[in-house]
Amino acid sequence: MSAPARTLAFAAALMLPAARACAEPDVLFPPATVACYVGAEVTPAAAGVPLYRKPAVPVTAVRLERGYPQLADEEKQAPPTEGDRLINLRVIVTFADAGKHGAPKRYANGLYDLLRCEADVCDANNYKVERQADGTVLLRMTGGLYVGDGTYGDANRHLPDRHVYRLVASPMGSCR
Amino acid sequence: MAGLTERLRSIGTKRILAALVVMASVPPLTSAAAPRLLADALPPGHPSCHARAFGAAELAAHPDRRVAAIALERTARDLAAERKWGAFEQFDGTPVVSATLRVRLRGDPVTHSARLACIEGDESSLVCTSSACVGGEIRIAGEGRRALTVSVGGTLSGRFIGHYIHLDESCEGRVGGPIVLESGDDDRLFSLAPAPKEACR
Repeated sequence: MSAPARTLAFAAALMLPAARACAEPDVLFPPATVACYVGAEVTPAAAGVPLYRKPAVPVTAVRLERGYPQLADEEKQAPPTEGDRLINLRVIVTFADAGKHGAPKRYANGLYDLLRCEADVCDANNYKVERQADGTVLLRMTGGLYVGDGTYGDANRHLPDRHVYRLVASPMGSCR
Repeated sequence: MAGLTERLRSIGTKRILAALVVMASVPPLTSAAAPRLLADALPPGHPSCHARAFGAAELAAHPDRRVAAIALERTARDLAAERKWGAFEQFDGTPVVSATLRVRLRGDPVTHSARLACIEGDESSLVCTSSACVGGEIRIAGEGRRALTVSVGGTLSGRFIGHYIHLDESCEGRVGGPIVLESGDDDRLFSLAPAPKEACR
């Protein structure tokens, strides 16, 4: 191989990973990629939006975590047949009374929630995650979500229908 | 005639009795008869202790290792929790093993701990979480001779994905951040041997 050809081959080899990176789909929650979003409630004050009940305690922070357990769960799912993707998310919720009078510090959804994703929206049927133009995501209740305190058979709380939370992409450590 | 009827009735009764005996002696086809995952290392109804302490030489050879000692203990309180969970109908996500993880970090004299509830995961491992700060998890697998492997994070599609578990109940409430066992380069896999209970304290 001539020197110029070798140089070209070397340059091409260097460019391949970059080209592969560019080819990664620009989608919400891309495959095999960890993610952490952190935010708070932005539900617009409107008549008819259900209130937090039993207890009437609002949410102070929400985290969406897609780490090793979620990716491991996704890996064992059957490949999608209709072009859409299935992802697993952990929704971790902190209420205003966290740690007070024995209240749990955090609540979370189940381990095996699956969301069906298009480019900008992932839908669990009872809630959605929607990518916004500014890079944030909206977690929107479309039916409501029960979250547990992590102890089997004990207290649950509910994120009511039509409540909305805006979350910002954050380092993975922010979801701990 | 009456004698014949009596004899037939007797034969019928014996057959029903025999059928009942057979039905009672055949194990049900559900998984209830299957032994619990890692039952040899973490025997149901019996306490257990597995521990590993890294000596000065090992720590010197792995300067990035944060963990100086790690132990997994099941006491009478855990056995009671396991009995309670065992009485529930079993679904995916029903815990089967209760334990306490204790970790001493390099340069920190305090032993930190997390109460674990473990479900049966894939590939013959238990998936253990702490209810104090949900989100983190470790996995526990058997490695023969009643020893255990504790893993933090794992390899997916040939790439290691790190993870963590909280070692206290502060969650995000602690100044300086939560105390976690996280999968640094030298803190991903720990081999724990069966040990006397004193090694777990």
